[in-house]
Amino acid sequence: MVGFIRKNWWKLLGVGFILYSIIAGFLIEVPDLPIIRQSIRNLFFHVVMWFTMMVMLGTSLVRSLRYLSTFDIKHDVYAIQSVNVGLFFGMMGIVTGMEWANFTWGTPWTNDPQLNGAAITILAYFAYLVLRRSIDEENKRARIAAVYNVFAFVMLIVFIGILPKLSDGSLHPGKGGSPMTVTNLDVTMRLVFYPAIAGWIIVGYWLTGIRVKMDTIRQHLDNPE
Amino acid sequence: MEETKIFVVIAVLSTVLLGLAGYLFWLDRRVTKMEKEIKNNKN
Repeated sequence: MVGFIRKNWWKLLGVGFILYSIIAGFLIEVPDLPIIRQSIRNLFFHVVMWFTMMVMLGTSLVRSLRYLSTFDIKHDVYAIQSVNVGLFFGMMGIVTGMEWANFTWGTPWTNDPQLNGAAITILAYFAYLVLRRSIDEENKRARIAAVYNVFAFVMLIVFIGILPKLSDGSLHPGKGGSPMTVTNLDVTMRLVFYPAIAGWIIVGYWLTGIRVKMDTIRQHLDNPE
Repeated sequence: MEETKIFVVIAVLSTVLLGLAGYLFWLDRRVTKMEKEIKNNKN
C-alpha cells in the first residue's frame, strides 16, 4: 500500500485536484455575469480541456525536438502518444464548447476566430497522424513527423494565440463582445481553475505514459526476436 | 431553487470520476505488468 503510494502519488494528486474542482466548482460563489450566469462554472470543465491540450501538444513538440537532436526513437514514441492524448483533450474541448455555445449563443458554432482557430489546429494535428501512417520505416517516419510537429505547433500558436487577439467583435472571452475577460477572472474562481488545470495535465501525462507502454508491447509483438 | 440538490450533482460526478480513476489505475497496473514480462523475456 505504502509502496503503491510512493510510486503513484502524483497520479492520486492529479485525480485529487480534479475531484476538488468538481466539488468546489459547484459550491463556490461565482460572479453572476449577463447571459452566461451560472454556466460560467464551465470554466472548470471546458476551458481546462484546452489548456491541457496545449500542454500535451507542447510536450509533443519538445519530444520531437529531442528526437531530432538525439535520434533516440523513445522520444518519437512519446511525441506521438502526447499528440494522441492532446487530441483527445482537444476533441473534448470542441464538443463541450459546442454544447456550451448552443446553450449560450443559440448555435453550436459561430464564425469566430477563436473557434475556427481551434478547429484548424486540431485538423493540423490529425494531419500529423495521417502523415505518420503514410511512412512505414520507423526512423524516417520519426524524422519527418518531428519536423512536421514543429510547424504544427507554430500553427497552433498563430491560430489560437495570435489571430484571435487581433480580431474584435468575438463572442469568446478575452475579445470584444463577451461579458467576461481573461484578466479580471474572479479570485475565488482562480482557486478552482488552476488546480483543475494541474489535475488534468497530470492525468494527461499519466495517460501518455500508459500509451507509451502499450506502444512498447505492440512493438515487441510485431517484431518477434 | 433548493441549493442542497447540487450535492447530488457533485456526488454523481465524483462517482463517475472515481470510477474512471479506478479503471485507469487498474489499466496502468495491467499494462505495466505486461511491459515487465516483455522486458524479462528479452533477457
